[in-house]
Amino acid sequence: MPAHIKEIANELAHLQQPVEFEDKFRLLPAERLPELQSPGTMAIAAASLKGNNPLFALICQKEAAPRFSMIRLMSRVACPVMMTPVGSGTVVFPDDNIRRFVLVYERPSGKRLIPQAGHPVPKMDEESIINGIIYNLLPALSELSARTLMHRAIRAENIFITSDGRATLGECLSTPPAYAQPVLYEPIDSGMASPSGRGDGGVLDDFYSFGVFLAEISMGGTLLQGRSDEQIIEAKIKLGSYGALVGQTRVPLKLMEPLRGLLSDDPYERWTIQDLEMWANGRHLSPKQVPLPPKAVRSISFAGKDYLTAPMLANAMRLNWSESKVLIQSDHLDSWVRRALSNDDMGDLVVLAERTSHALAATGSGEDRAVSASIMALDPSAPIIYKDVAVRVDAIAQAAALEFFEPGKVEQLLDIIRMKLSQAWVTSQTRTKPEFIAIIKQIEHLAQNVKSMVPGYGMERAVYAGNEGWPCMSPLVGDHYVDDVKNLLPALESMVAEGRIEGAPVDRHVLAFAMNHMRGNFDALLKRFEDPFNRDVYNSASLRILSDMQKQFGPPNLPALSAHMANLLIDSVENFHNTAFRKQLREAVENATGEGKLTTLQSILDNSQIKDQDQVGFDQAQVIFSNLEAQATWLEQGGLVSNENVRHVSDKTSAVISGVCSSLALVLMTIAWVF
Amino acid sequence: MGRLPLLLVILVLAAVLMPSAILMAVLMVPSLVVYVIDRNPHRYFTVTIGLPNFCGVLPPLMDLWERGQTFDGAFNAIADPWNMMIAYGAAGLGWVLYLGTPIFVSSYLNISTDGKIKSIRRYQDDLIDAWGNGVKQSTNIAPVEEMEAHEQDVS
Repeated sequence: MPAHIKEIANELAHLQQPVEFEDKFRLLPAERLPELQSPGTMAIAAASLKGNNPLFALICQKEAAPRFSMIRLMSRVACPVMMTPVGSGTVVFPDDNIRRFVLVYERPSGKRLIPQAGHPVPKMDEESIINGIIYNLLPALSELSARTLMHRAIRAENIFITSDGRATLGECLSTPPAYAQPVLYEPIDSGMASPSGRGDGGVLDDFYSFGVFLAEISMGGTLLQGRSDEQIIEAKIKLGSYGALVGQTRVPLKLMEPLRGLLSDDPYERWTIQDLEMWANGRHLSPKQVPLPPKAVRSISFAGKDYLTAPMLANAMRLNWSESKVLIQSDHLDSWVRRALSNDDMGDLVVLAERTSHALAATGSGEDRAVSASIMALDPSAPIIYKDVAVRVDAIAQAAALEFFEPGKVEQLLDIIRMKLSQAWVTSQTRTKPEFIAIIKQIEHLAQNVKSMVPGYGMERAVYAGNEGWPCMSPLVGDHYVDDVKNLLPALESMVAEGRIEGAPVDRHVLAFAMNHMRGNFDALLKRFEDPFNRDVYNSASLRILSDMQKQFGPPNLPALSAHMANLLIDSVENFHNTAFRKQLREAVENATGEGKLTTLQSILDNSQIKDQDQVGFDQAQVIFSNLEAQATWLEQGGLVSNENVRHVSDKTSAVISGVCSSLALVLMTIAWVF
Repeated sequence: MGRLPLLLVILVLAAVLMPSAILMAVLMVPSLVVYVIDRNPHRYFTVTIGLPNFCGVLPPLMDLWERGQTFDGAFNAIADPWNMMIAYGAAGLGWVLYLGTPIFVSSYLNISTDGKIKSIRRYQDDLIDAWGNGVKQSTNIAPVEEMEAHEQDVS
């Protein structure tokens, strides 16, 4: 198993209880099937509830998540010589109540050609290779080509051979594309890219891998055994893939043609399914020899070695980044390209890269961009290379997902997006492809997501927007495989119930994952998450987002999460001024917590209207209190019985009494006068 | 009505009813004196003296009108010490009322002050119960005019 893939079989040793899945399968985790295990997965027995086909299931890991979009497409393929899933999805295992992703396959007939990577491949004779392997696997390759599906896991240990020598193509969906492929099996550019940055690539990548596999079984053993990945890439660049892998070794004459065609380093010259079918039908083709890169008339000295070709120098620059910066700053590279390689176009690109370096000098990353752009100029077929990152242009989002928690990697990928290195890579290509349009759209979409670094956007959003079905990577969901937003709240509920979340159950990953799936515009709400130290604002915003999620996706009751949020926000109830209102709110919070309704809780605890009402009432009460205090003070200081006030009141009183008495007198006089 | 038109109306009436005007001018001297010395814009003092004084003048005035509004009748009424005593005595009662009221008012206000203070403190306690101690920390000081208005209400 490749070192970068996590072994999970031991971690999942505690799974024992059977569990039903999709009402169609029963998974039997107690029955392990290590011989069917793909890298980074655990294989267990499975039984169909409706048929008798022998099945097995692969429990996948979320760190190297399965190929969600490809699963949907592959499950529609019915090909007896290729393993395609009969079921897939997440299932909660009762042993630990953790949701995991599972792929169900029919058990292949036969055994793996080699038990695991690194074992020597048995040498097969020409007849067995042609009849048992090539003819047998042609329908699978044809199906993949016709549907433009990329297998990206064609390698010796992923081929199953029956006792009578018939081959079946193993599964390819449990880990990201080409993630478990040895560098040997990858075309030069894909091999240069880190395993996380290989991406789906194209159908022709599968044909290259098939070519490597044919070369291995025709020669036996392990090709380029004992060489490091870097040495393998160097050998392929120097001698061409065919030259490096086959070289002077004698291979069956009939196989020379397909090997030359499939191992061509120029994708435009590489054999396609039509070529292979024609060859299988007896039409002999003579594959064009791909010329090696032009040699310079004099070598250039770099990092203690002399280089004669541009791709070799580019590969060396990839491995010696600091020295590359020094080389770019000097004029040697430009003059070497123009004079020794006689390639003015390449020289212009190198100069352009240097100039861009000067333009970006203020940002501090200009030299790095210049090195990256110079490598593109020297070897346009190489992936995008920037500092420690080597990634194919269509695999930036995937690399971000797989290497998110690797120190420094995300920042470098962010630099690639912001410095528009992807666009520079597309521009540097000598031949345009129709796929470039889709790639440019994908790049623009990525750039849009990282334009704002507000929680809910940024690289986290780029991960989920750029990788369909990628599970939420937040530590808050623990080991739960949450690829569907409907499962996010149940996962958080479970984590809270276990006491594994102390603060707000919302972080940048949860937000980005939710925003990628939720309807509506939440930009104003997301701004409330900008200051994680402002706990009151952060917690109430968290409650708002969680309640919106519950409203849109359920489930209707989340008692643990409601109680947790109520605990976090109960202090905000104490911030209300009106004591009677506080009491009412406390009761309402208790009721909502009991019911597990985040929406009700949110309407109480994050309601600006009632907060405003309380504040207005309080302000008025303060003014009234203040006025009453002034009146009481005035009275206590004898204001009411002061001479002035007594005189004032007396004046009025005497005038009133005088008026009343005079009126009575007038009435009496009138009566006396009349009678 | 402005002061000048009122003065003109009075002058016209005085010219038409000259005997009555002479009678009133003599018998209502206390009211005229008080009108002159009263500085209160509401003229409470003038009202206190003027109304009983007018009540005292009214019987000779009625008598004059019954006898036909003659200068002789007016001078006879003026010369009658009884009329003089009633008119000036009524004004004197008003004066006594004006001077005596503060004694009673002062006593009443003394008694009611404690009750008012208790009532205010009860209201303040209710506010504290409803809104907490924070309500004591006044951020908005009431404007002076508002304060004065409240003081007027209390009195």
